[in-house]
Amino acid sequence: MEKENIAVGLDIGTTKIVAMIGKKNEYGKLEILGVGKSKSLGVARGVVNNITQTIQSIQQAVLEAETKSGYKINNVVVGIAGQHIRSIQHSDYIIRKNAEEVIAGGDIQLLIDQVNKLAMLPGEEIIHVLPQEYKIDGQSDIKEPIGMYGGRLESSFHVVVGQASSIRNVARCIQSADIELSGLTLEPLASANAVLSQEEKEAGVALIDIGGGTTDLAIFKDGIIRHTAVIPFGGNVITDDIKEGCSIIEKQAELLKVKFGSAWPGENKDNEIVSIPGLRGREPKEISLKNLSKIIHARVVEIIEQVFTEIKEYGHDDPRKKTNSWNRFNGGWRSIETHQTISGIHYRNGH
Amino acid sequence: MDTRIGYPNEHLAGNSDEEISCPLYATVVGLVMNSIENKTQSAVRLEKINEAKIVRPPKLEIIEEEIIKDDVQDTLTPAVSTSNKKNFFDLSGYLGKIKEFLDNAE
Repeated sequence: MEKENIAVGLDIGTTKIVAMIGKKNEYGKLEILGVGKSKSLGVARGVVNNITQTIQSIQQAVLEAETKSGYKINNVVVGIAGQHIRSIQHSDYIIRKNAEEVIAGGDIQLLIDQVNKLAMLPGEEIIHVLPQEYKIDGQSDIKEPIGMYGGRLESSFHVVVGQASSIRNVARCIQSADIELSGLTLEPLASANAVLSQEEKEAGVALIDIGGGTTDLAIFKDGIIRHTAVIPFGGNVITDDIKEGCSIIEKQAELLKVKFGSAWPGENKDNEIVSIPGLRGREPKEISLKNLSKIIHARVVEIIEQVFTEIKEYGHDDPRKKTNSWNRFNGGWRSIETHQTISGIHYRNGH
Repeated sequence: MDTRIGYPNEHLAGNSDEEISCPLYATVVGLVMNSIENKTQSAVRLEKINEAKIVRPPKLEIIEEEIIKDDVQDTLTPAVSTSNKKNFFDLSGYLGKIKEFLDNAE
């Protein structure tokens, strides 16, 4: 049986669970063989809170992907997100025994392994150790140390840490669905991989993924990951706001948001009104679109401001760290119109 | 500052579905790309699994037939030394049984 390099990804999101089967074609591009999507029920803000429902959703998505592609899934790489994720900057070094030999991959692995043993707070686990810039015998800003001479190999690292119990819950859900777990990836990093080009990463870019339950942030500069963050607000918070603000049920609120939602109240006229059927024979409700936009606007501004605080925290104003462009897309929102207007705000607020 | 919507079509093949290059699928496309770097075979073709299952029964039949042929030869060799007529009679009976067995097996 010839061996094919078939890859499977599983995204456990707050609004949906997606399984995707793909392979690399002869041009090195990704060819998608099948996609399966199911509604995610047991996940809140990127964290599993109902194991049984999550397992069912995973099985549904996996089955759909399998029938569409004609492949049987054995193991998956899963994305991880949630408020419990935090990233730290860390610097470490090793003294090489034989400075006469050039630095090889083994030396770098040794350094990474050393960082992996870093003492964490109780209940925390390291998800990623990402080397940034290396320093060899005092010579700084080295991106590719392999093949160089030197005794002291030093590097700064971007370490992504998450709560062990949350990670284990995700792993259990996948194992219960009869699939093996082959790897964990931080969701903002996965999105960045798919969306950003190498040139953008070099110039400096911030990726913002406004999902259903969380908003993910990843900042790149000089081709290296500099900062990652997960903010526990997303599209679902907006749906909740609409639900409360207009006193309607959640399903109607979601529909309103997707069909008529806009984040810029200035675009709506006062006389645009949507009528919503009342519950149990009550009078239908009339909601003005202007009001709806105001509700969405308030929450979107809050989310964007949090993102901006996070970017400022990273040191956006520092010329060495300056990012040249922002890059955003949304997952759980499903409405391009909403999306574009959000970008609109972004200009107007002058961030 | 510049902004754009991030579509995951950066690394997708040209003939991909429009639907997949929608921002909704960006994360999962990234995860598939990470999975490719692992260089493992994460999925097996369903047809191959089915083929493997189908192949087994005919193999078993062949083995059975060989055993039966051996039996026939065994009965043939001692029979030659005694009586030819009786032996022939026995053999045809035996062959009948084999035929019956094969028919049943099929």
